[in-house]
This record gives sequence, structure tokens and C-alpha cells, in this order.
Amino acid sequence: MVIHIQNLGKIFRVGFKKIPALQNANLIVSASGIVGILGPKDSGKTTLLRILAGLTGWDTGSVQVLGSEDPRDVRRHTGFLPENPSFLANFSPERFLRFCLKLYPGEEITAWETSEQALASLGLTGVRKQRINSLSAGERRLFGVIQAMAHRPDLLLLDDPLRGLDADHRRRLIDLLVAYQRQGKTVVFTTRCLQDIEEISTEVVVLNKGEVRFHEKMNLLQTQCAYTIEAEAGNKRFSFRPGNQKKLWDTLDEARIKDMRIIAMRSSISHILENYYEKQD
Amino acid sequence: MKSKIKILSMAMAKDIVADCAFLALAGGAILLIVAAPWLGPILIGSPSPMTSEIRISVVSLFWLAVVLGWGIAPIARSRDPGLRDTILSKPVARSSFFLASRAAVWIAAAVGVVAAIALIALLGQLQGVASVAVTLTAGYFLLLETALLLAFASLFAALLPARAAGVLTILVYGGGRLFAHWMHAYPDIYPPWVAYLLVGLYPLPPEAGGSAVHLLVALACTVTEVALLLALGRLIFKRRP
Repeated sequence: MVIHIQNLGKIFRVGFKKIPALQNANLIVSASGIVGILGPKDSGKTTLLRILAGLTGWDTGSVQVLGSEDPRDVRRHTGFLPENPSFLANFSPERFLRFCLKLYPGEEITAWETSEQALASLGLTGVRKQRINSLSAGERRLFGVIQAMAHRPDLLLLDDPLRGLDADHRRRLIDLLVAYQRQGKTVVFTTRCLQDIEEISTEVVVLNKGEVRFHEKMNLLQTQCAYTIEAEAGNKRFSFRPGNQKKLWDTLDEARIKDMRIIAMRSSISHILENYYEKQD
Repeated sequence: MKSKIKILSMAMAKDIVADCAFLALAGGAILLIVAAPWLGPILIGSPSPMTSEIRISVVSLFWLAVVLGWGIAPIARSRDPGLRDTILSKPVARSSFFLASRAAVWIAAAVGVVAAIALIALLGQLQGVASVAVTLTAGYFLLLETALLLAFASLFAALLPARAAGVLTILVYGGGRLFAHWMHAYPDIYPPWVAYLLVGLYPLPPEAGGSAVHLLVALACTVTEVALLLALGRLIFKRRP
């Protein structure tokens, strides 16, 4: 069992006010994969990830990560990218990685090889000796992922890793994470973007107002009626979902079009997820 | 666990020193240019305006204040959620991180003091007033001033963003020095203990004729001030959510 969360509750106290960040959240991730946690702002994504990383406690329920409830034990086997990562800014990426690896005694040599490969695959070899301060925001975020995975953790926890990346960096990071997962590891990441989930996840969790509203494997989701049909009629193009044929027929009737040709069926998991994502109140 | 504190504190201290190095080099270079009798006429068109070892010490203290004002950043940085989460997500205890970040500041301060003493010795050499006694006195003053400065820095860094804390530290410290100058100019207005309490060791330059008793009183006052400031800082720091 990679993650086993039962009735998890977490309340933040700000002055006399109590703000529930998570309430009765349940989640089980049993095998390796890429788990995307989707949710709007303040839905509890970061809090959940920080709890999984052993960085903060919780008020009610139970949390087991990689079979352990002890945060010190958990931190040895997980890697974490914070929402706004920050480093020793005068260090170079290479020097900071060496510093991080010293905190994992006995794993330095193999871990350094992994880090070098990751630097190369993310296109950061050229900046490895520059000061971290001088890197662009996107490069810093990529470097944050590398420092999280340098010791080859079984569970990689990434808080919004794809935010603000350009197309090239985005593609490189997705490839790296997919390759990492294929080695039998688990990657859990948060995002507010449906496209990220569709592109990379093998499992999706929708979190809203501190509750897990939806959890499903992507391949099962894809078998459901979650696609859009794109059609061409005369010189007009339409797209519709299978549940909305009537609207299409009405449109076609109005336009007095008799012949219609289906030109594409686009998988659209976002249509299902949107229902859970948008039900905020 | 001890080795992790060492790894963390050394890494953070190196980061601080790297942060301060440029400023320290620039400040040192300006002082050298101003102080060296043979450099002054070449670079600023007049002989060095500094003539006594006391002036050298005072200017060096300001230089140290500026350097350490920037060095305040790491204290604030240890409160930066991004860095804290990045490091604490590794197998590092929270207490180790806290101790290491404080130790790093003191290690960097020690480097700053050694550099400042070396600069004073060099300035003294250039001015032709170098002696072991002057250097040792300057070193002694610097150590105590550094302690006071770091206490201010810790207090402000616990409350404010890094830059604001740095600026405020320099302002308070610089204001304190100016006030000390003023008190030094009118010593009859206040009883001596007020001067010791408010500005620590300042009223003890050699020409003021400070005795061993004065020195001990001033030392006790400075240590008390530092302890009070640190305790206050800690209290405020602990009360933050």
C-alpha cells in the first residue's frame, strides 16, 4: 500500500478562527502510478501533500505512507517539491544537490548518477554550475523536482510541478515523471489544470473544500462516455457530447442539413472531472 | 544527528558568506582607498582623512554593520516556507534545522569578525599606527558589537521580511552609534551608567580613560542587553502561528 488515508481531518487555527483544510478525507493508492490531485484554490491540495510528506501533522483520522505512520521514516523514502520551492540561493544546482545527498548517508554515489541524468533530461546541464539565483523561475521549478527525486524515493510528492513551465520544459518534465513511474515508483502531484491530469495521470483524485470528491483510475475513466464527437455537416463543424445529441439534431434541423460526417472522437475526461471540480457549493 | 547539524549549518553559513562577500569586498576596498596614505592622493586627490586608530575602528564597525545587516537574511530565510519545506522534507529533524540555521549565522559572523580584524590591522599598517594592542582592542570591541548586532538582527528577522529587518537593524545600530557620539560629546548630562546601558561599550575608547571597572560594567550591560533582546525575539518568534 503506497498511501492509506482514513477520515483525515486538519484544522488551521488563525487567531480565534478555525479553518478546516481537510475533512473526512479518504484515499487509498495501492500500486505505483502517477496520481494527479485536482482541485481549485484552497481545496486542501497542499495541506494533503505536506501531510503525506511528513511535514505537518493532522487532527483526526489516520495516515499511512509506504506502510509507515512515522513521519521520520516517511521522509527517508519520499521526495517533496514545495509549492514555492526555495534553495540556498548562492549555491549552484550541482552544489545544492551534493548538499542534499549528504543528508541521505550511504546513497550518495548512485543518487548522484540519478541527479546527473535528471539534470541532463531536463536540459539543465548547461546551468548546473550557475548560481540558483540566476536561474529562471521555470528552471528553478525543474530543479526543485530534481532535488526531490535525487535520492530515488519510492514516493515523489510534487506540489504543482507543471505551473509556469514553457512547452519544452513541460514536455521534458512529463517524460521524466513517466519514466520514473515506469521504474515502479509512485508520483503524486497537485494541479488546478485539467489538461495536466489528462496528459500525465494514471489515477485522478478530485479534492474540493477539503474533501475527496472523486477518485478513479484514468483507464477506467476513459471507458466511460467521456468523449466529444466532432462532426462536419455541409461547410459547418460541430462538436457534441453523447449526452447532448438532441441539441445537435435540433441545430441540424434548424440549419436544414441532412448529411453529417463524423470526423473525430476526442477523449474528454475533463467533462466528467469538471462536474466534481466545479461543484464548490 | 550531530553531523546533520554540521552539514546544514556549514552549508547555510557558506551561503551567508557568499551573500555578504561582494558587499564586504566593496566596503573593504573603499576603506582601503580612503585610509591608505599613498592610495588617497592617487585615487581621491587628497591624503587620507583618517588619522587615528579609533576612526579606523568606528568605520570598520559600520562596515561590519552593513555586512551583517545583509547577513540577517539567513535568519529570515530559515522562516521561508519554501526552504524550510525543501530541507525538512529530507530526513532532518525540525530542531536540527532550527539549531543549524542559528549556528550558521554565528559562523558567518565569526568569519566577518576575523575579516574585519584583518582589515583593521591592514588599515593600521597603512596608517602607520599598527600595533598588537590596537588590533586586539579592535577585535574585542568587534566581538561584543557583533553580539549586539546579531541580537538586534534576530529580533527584527523574527518579525519582518529579510530586507526590512536588515534595513531596520542598520538604522537602529547606526542610530545607536550616532547617539553614542552625542552622549560622548556631552558626558556631563547623563550619569555614565545610562551611557553603558544604552550604547554598551562605546564610551570606552582609550582616550576616554576607561578603567577595568568601567569595562566590566559595560561588558555586563552589553551581555544583559543581548540576552534580553534574544529572549524577547524568542518570545515573539514563538508566538507566531
